[in-house]
Amino acid sequence: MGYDVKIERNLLHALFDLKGSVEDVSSYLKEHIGSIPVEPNSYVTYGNLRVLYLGINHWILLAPIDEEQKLLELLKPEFCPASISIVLISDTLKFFRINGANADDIMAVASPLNLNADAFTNNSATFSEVFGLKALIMRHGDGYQFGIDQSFGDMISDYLDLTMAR
Amino acid sequence: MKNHRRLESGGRVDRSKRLNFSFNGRQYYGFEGDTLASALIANGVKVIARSFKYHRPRGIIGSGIEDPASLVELLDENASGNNLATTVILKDGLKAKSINCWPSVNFDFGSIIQYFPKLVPAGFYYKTFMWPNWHLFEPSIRKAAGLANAPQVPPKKGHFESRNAHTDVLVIGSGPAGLAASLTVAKTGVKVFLVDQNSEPGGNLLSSKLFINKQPAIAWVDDMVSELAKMDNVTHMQNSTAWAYREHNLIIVNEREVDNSSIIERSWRVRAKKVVIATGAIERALVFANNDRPGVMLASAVQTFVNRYAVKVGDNLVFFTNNDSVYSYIDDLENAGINILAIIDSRKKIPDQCLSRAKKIKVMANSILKNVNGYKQVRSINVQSLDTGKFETISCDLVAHSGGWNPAVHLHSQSRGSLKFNEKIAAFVPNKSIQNSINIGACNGTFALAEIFKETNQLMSKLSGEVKSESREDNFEVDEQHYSIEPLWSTDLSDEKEKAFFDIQNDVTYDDIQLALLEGYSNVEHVKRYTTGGMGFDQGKTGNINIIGAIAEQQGVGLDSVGTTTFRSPFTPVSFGSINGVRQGSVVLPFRHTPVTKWNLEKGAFMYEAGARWRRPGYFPKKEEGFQEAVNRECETVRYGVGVYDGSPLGKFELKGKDVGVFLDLIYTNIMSSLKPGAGRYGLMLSDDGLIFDDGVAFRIDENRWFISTSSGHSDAINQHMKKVLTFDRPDWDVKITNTTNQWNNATICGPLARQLLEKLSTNIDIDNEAFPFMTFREGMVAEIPARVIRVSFTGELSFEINVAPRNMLKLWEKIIEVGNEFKILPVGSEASHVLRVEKGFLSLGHEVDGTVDAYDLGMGWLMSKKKIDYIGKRSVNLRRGEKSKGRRELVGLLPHNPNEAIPEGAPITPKGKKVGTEGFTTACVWSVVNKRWVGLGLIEDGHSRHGEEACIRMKDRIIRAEITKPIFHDPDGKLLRS
Repeated sequence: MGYDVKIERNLLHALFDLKGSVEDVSSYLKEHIGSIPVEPNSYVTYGNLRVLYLGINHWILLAPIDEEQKLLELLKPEFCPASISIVLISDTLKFFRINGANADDIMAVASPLNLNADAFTNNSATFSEVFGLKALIMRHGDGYQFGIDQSFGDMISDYLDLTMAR
Repeated sequence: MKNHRRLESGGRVDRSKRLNFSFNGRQYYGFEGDTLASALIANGVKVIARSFKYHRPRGIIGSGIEDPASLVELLDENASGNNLATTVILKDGLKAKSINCWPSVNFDFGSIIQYFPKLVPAGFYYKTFMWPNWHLFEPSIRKAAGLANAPQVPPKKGHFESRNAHTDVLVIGSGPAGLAASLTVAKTGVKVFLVDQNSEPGGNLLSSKLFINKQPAIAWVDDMVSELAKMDNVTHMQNSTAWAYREHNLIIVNEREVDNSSIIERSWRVRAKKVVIATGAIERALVFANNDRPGVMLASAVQTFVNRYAVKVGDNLVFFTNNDSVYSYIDDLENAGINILAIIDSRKKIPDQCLSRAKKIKVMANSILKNVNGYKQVRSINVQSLDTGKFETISCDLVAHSGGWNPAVHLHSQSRGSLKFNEKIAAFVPNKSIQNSINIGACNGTFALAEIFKETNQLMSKLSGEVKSESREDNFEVDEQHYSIEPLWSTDLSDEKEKAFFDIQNDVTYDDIQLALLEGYSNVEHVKRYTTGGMGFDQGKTGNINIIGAIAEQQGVGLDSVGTTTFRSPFTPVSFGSINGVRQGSVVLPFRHTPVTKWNLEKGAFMYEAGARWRRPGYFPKKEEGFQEAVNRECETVRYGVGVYDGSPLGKFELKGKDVGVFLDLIYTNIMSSLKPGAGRYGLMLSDDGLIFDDGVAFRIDENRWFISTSSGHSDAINQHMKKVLTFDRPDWDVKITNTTNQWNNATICGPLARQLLEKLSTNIDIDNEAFPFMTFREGMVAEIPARVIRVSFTGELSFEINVAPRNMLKLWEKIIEVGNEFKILPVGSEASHVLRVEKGFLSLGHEVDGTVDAYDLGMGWLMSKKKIDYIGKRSVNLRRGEKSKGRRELVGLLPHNPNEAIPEGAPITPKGKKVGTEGFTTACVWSVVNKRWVGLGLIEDGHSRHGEEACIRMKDRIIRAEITKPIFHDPDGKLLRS
């Protein structure tokens, strides 16, 4: 008897690493995207864009991969002020989506993060651990998605196959 | 065989569900609800195992996890090494066998050892079998001291799982205290996790015939469980043992019967805000001669087998006790048809409540059981009156003894909570909790049911207030119970020839304890280690406190003064598979792939781990081609044509900010801030102690943006190093770092034909040497893919490192191979790369950089800036070199006198090859395709001034002589890489 889940593997998102002081990043992003989140380990949504607040002076802009070029032209990483850093990192993370009735079971095996609904809300996002590796975790639909160092993608895929309990 | 010892009625077994099983090759049957132990007793099997050291026949002693003797090995689809028969749930088709016996459990050659106890006293391995070497004897001794072998093959079906859970309250134990606590807390709405090691909830209520609220206790249990089952905030698991209590209220639970047929066992890592420990108490044994004979059992176990499993353990029983509890079993056992011949009570004054229950039974007060007669089963016992000193022999087949009750303080102790000795119950009980936990019920030293409920109500009301404002008290009406005890740590055994066991699991006898004390091991921790008492899976469940008592008596102090040993996890045996979870097969070790890995495998690459978990191709052997031939072929391709190497694992970081230049000047030994946009420089990073930490390159993108490249293996360490410097040393500097190791993959084309290949690949970058010189980078399109091309070289040949996004890497790679066919291109593995860098004398971390050398030792003093005021490691290097610059091991080349003789890497170099302290060692030795001979590198004392001298590499059977040279064997002026 296996777990009832649907797993999508090795997905790419457009990702931009944003660093700088709250004031500087807020000012630059407000001009191009919108306000940045104020609660640590949460995100705000603008259409299909998400701005994730993940650490001190650290944000990630996440969007569908086909938005990558448009955002590059919008954000102009090479021309932004010296006080902030915008680096395209879309290829650094491979994303896995786990949806279905047993998504919580799979994540309970994969991650020590407290994913109870009261602790990890719908707009939560955080770097934590999946199968022992650093991972960017969010809710997605009735399940989750997490991004993992691209080079570990095959290993995570193997782990998920083993966890599926088939 | 028939279930001839099965009672006709009663018990919690389902007689309509017959289960066939085999034990030691013989067929038996039991019923659903049985354990292997209860089914074996029902079938009249008395000898289950042989003991750990003396190979004495052992039967079943306890009824659950406290049993110290009945280890069996499960076979076939349930294959598992060491399982207590008392905890194995009977299943149809189960196969089990005894362990540590040959040829059979009933006739075991190993048992001869029991007749030579003087050969194997406590701690014998510390003082015997020392000549000529303990290790000569060790395998045989280990084999004789037996546990089961690990299963040779994995289970056929399913896998193990390890998962995490978070809860508000974790209740451990579903006895009366645990159930009451769970319901009280759950009613406040908080998330409750209830786990219990037994197959059914109820704890000791399953074995008793007590009443709660005027109904049988088991009905109360059913009501409680039903109510809990209706609550969404409650997770209730049986067959789930909390076996470890770690920091931050992390409790590890092993679930053995999982409601998912694919999962063999599941390990839960439960993090709880509050832990309620309700693990009950364990009956302890009494120490008397032959207290391990089959038929000598804990009294509570006899009651359990009768009441819960409906098996008649014996016909003629004698109790031996120092406390009240056995008197409450009388009615149950007599109703089962067991003839109670006598109660031997070591107490002078026996409470009236007890005597009133034993009116028709011979009660022998102030008496002790001296000896049990019989070998594979009890035949009779000898009783001594302490009033008169007279002996009496009683024929019987069952001895049920009780030395009192030990609160199961194991988890409390694991949580680092302290213990104190409670004189009233003669047992250690929890004192202070260190973590956010509380103990309730018998594990807290509260034995009477009424008191348990009262205590639970009080503590749970307090707890409910902590986790939520609402709370509710439940009151239960229960039978009256009495408990008193006069401790009896051991009987007088000074003249006894037969063995009396303190720790039955480890075969630790009265004599062993006396020997340890005689030899000066007065501390309980020392006694434990010397005798092994309380070690292994027993972990102090039955024998430990008697040892503590014996030490206290011998020293004339209280048990509090002696203290306890550390209760370690696991509380009960746990399978390695459960701890390991799904980490098996391909993921047993972490691994990293590049987008080319699959291609490499398809081309037959020999892959291995090459640092930082990267699985990389070592070389690409053709069919029937050996290692050296393959490596030579790849090296020649790079030296005379063009090869391509997957350099994706190299660490890469993008840095931005107005202080990046000075930051790089601080972490590298040379000056980086003077670089112009588009240009780069090779550099060394030192650790604080001035030794080489990493080497790499730094390039400037524009005024405020840079990127650096580090070694693959040190990428993470460099990341941490940079962040540490910026966090603690230079927090005011404006430097923002982004790890781009996996944003850029690279295919490095190298060799004299590399430029021609790049032209063929089609690029909009001007790749002429003047327009694009060595140590610069350009951005543009290569093979219609956006790329950053860098001119660096690790091979000494003309090289272009073509960096692209990983999503384009395979496409680029295949294009390079396709277009490169015209140039007879080959993929190059790590082995060829190693050869090529040795020929050039380029350093390699882990070879020449071994954690002891600085830049001067490697002839790289030119990288140590004299202009900069400071950089990390500068002061340490200067201090060290100020003290002693002579006698340091310096990098040299080694040319074996015999050009066809290889020098093993790591081989020591000694003065004139003498058998004296080394003066250096070989760091690398390769077959040089350009020199057609073996060439090596080494670190040797004062090597820079010894060129032309002879180095003697001392091997076990010979000396390899080599000429000391400059550490470079190809293109010493570097013209090729700049071409």
